Amino acid sequence: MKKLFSVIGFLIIYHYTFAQKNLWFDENLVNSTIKIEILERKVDNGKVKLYRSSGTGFFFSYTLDKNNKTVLPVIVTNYHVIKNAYKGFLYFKLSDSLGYPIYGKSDTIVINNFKDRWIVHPDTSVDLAILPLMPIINEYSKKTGMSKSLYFSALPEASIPSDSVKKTMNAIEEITTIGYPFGLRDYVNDLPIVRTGISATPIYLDFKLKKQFLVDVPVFFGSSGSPVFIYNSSVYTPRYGSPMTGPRVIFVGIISSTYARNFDGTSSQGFN
Amino acid sequence: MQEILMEQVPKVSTNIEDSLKVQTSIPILNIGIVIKSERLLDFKKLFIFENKIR
Repeated sequence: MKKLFSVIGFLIIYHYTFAQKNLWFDENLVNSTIKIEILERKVDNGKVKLYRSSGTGFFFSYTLDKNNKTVLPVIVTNYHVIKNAYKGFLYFKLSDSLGYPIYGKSDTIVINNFKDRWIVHPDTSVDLAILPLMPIINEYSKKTGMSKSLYFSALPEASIPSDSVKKTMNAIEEITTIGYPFGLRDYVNDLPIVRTGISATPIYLDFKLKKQFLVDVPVFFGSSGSPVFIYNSSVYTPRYGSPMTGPRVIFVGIISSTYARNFDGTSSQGFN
Repeated sequence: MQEILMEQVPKVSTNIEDSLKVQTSIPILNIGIVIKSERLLDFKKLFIFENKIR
């Protein structure tokens, strides 16, 4: 753990500016995620076999001073995505010299001892982990001689709804999730899959006394770690308010698990 | 009444030796459980606790 914090300490020296450059809000959203693939070893019938799995991560930026100039960019995903990974693959889009994403140009970062690079949520019952980004960016810059830059669009800490914002939420909201169901990804443009639905329980309440809520959105294998948004592209009506003109985007959570009952009457079984 | 089981969203996984396998059993009830975004702020408490990193 000390090693992790010393890494963070190194990172905070940076006064990092966001990579995104005046992209329209929805384009920022589809550039906020990253596909994570991992290799893990499992014993199957007495034999050690390699398994390759995938989940969804997204970029998030912690604010570490009052002026919003010192930030800590990280990748967020579910702990269960990375907990057994001895090697990880991160698929980044490349950035042009102005800081815009280059669709059609991407690069893969391969990281050994992958699970050891992540910081696990202090409450182990919360299925979250974060990966500091700056060491990865620095290593990549050294490796490429700064001839190429990685692109990412981080959700700022301010995108987490405050209590006053929560009071504007309705019991039923339009929900958008972004990720890689079944590992599906537009690998040419390095873009994720967007799914929509509605909130299944009020977001401003805690479902079963935990800081969680339910969504009626297609959630499949590989969706773990997907960011969840209230997303209104045009007109919306806040609770007890009058109709307002959008867009309205609120980062409300992270997909972690699902209630599932299968077509054949069985429960879902993963390939973990 | 059907029993509904809660489980993690599994990762897509491929046994490299057997090439890609695709799940054929599609959920008919598919309700996602979402951790609230505010739980990300709990990590920040770790940073503050270790104030030497400032």
